[in-house]
Amino acid sequence: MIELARASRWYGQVIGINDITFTVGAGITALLGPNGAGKSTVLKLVTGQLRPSSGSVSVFGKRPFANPGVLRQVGYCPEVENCYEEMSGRGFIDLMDVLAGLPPKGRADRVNSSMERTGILYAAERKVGGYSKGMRQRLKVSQAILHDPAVLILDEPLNGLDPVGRREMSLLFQGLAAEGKCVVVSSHILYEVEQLTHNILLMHRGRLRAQGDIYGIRSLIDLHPHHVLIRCDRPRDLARGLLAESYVISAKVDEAAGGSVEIETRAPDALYRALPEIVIGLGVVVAGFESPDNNLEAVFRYLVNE
Amino acid sequence: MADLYILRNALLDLARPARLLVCGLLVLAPAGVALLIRGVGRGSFDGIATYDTLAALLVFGFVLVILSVVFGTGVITREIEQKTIVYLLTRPIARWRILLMKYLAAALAVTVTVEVSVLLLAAATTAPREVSGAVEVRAVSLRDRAQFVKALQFPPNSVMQLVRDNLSEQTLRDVDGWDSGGILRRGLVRGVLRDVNRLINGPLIYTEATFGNVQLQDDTRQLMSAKPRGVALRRANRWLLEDGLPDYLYRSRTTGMRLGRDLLILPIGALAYTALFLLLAALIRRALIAGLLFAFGWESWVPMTSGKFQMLSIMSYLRTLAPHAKVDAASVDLTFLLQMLTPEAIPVRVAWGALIGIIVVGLGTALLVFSLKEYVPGEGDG
Repeated sequence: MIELARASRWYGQVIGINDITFTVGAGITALLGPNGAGKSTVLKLVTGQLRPSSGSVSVFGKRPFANPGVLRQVGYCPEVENCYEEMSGRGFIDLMDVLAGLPPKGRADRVNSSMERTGILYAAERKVGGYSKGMRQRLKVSQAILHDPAVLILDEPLNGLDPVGRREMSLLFQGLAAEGKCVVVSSHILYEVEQLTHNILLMHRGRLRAQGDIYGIRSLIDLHPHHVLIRCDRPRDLARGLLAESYVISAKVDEAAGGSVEIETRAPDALYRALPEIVIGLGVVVAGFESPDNNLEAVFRYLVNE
Repeated sequence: MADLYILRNALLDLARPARLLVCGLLVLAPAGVALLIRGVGRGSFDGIATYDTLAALLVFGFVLVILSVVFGTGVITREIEQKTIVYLLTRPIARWRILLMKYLAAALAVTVTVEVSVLLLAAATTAPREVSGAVEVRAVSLRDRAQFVKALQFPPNSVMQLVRDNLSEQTLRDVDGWDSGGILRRGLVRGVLRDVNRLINGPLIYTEATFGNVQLQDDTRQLMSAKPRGVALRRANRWLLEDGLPDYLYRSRTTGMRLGRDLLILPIGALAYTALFLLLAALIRRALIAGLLFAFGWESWVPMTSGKFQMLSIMSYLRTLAPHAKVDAASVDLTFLLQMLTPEAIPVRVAWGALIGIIVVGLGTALLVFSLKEYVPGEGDG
């Protein structure tokens, strides 16, 4: 459905994306990459807002730039939060329905249905200016699915949603994919993407670094040491207990500022599974837990050897 | 159907409270200034001159231009600044259709505002004794009947002498026989009016010898230069008499006559300016600033230059189609001197052609540019 062939895009002297080739079909595909990777540029090319500087971009075999024939089959949820602030949610979706070229007959049903599917119908009569970030995300997804497009392009659609909202949206996207639609979701959060799909495109600094099944990429990542920082009252005891595990490579204790231990491991998943039992067994009080590596920035550092 | 919905939506967007407040102030400003002048001037208030001055300076020169800049450029720049343009460009509808409807909404909003503004100005400047614009001189056209007859006895200027020379023998005898301290007979006044109207209904009364020293109004000059016939010829004679005898005759020129013309030309101005500023916004990012500089720099200065250079300004064409009286010679300034250096008036046909051309070419180019150009709001690219 979507095809990029050696597509590049420059903004003056700045490279947006560089020599990217991929094909995306039905189902959910996640476009992953840290901020500045070029994800939004790819999505703008696919939704006909930009033209490629070189190479080609096509949707259903046609160039999408300002092409109503292509855009009729594409739904787009932009990253920007801005909306027509003075309008009501319903007014906005109404306008989007008109701009989609759909007939007036059945408009009210279409608008209600799309708002209901994203869980924003309850606030349909309120002004968009008073919407929270999560409500705006739901509204933006509503307008994207409104005209029942075959291709859905969603730029960071889970941003600003609470866990329940993320779950609901993920189910919605999976449902649309099950109907045979092509759903492309961009994100910079690996965890939320893992729950959505196993099919990913990995971008970094304007280039496509990897594509395919997420487990393959995770296994590549797991070859590299992973860091986990645990803040607790007895860091020395916890470090001793964790070093007994085979997958823990090293433990660095810092007793200043309340105490913490930084663990280096080749199997973070095994560590996360075992950690609660170890902590309870030792009677250590854990104040905080974070992984400086558990984000895509770190993944890309591994992948590009930086 | 979709087009009408977009148009309606664009109009609703323009009718937000903040904009309505600004438009309301702009609507009231010219009439407010006129009422101020009227209050201060009292007996010496000249409704037509005030209308002319304020219509030219405030309605055409300010309200029309600033609203066109703000609404014309706002059609695109507001969508870009608020980053909502993405919703317009990713829907399956031709871009030019969206822009055309938004342009029409902007031009309509400008038109309604300036039309109401000029209507209120006309209402505020209409003189109480002003007559309907009829060509015929009636008793109510005379400021003071006794003074008029007295002036006929001893003409104070060449124009009154012309009137006296055209009185019938009977009327002349009656005029000369009237004792200025006595009662003015109704028959005498009727005779004078009949003879004055005969003069008006005759051939053009203008001669260099009679009117050489008279400061003629712009519209009198314009009417004469059009080689008038029929009613227009009689109106030219009436206006010549009014210009030559301002202390004796009320003016038959009503603001209503100018109002009708201005009401016709203002929408043309709104369409032309809005098309131009729409094109500017389609081409450059900081269109509002550039538009304001153009509107209050170029458009204020170029129409006052001499020769064909003035043809590079929309305002020059609007002034050709809707001329307003210039300032009196008593208050000559640089502007007036520059205007005097402009021997080449723009022909009316050229003005119409130029304005229609600006609308068609400006709008067409804006629609084309908007259909082909990339508009991506600045945002951190993920």
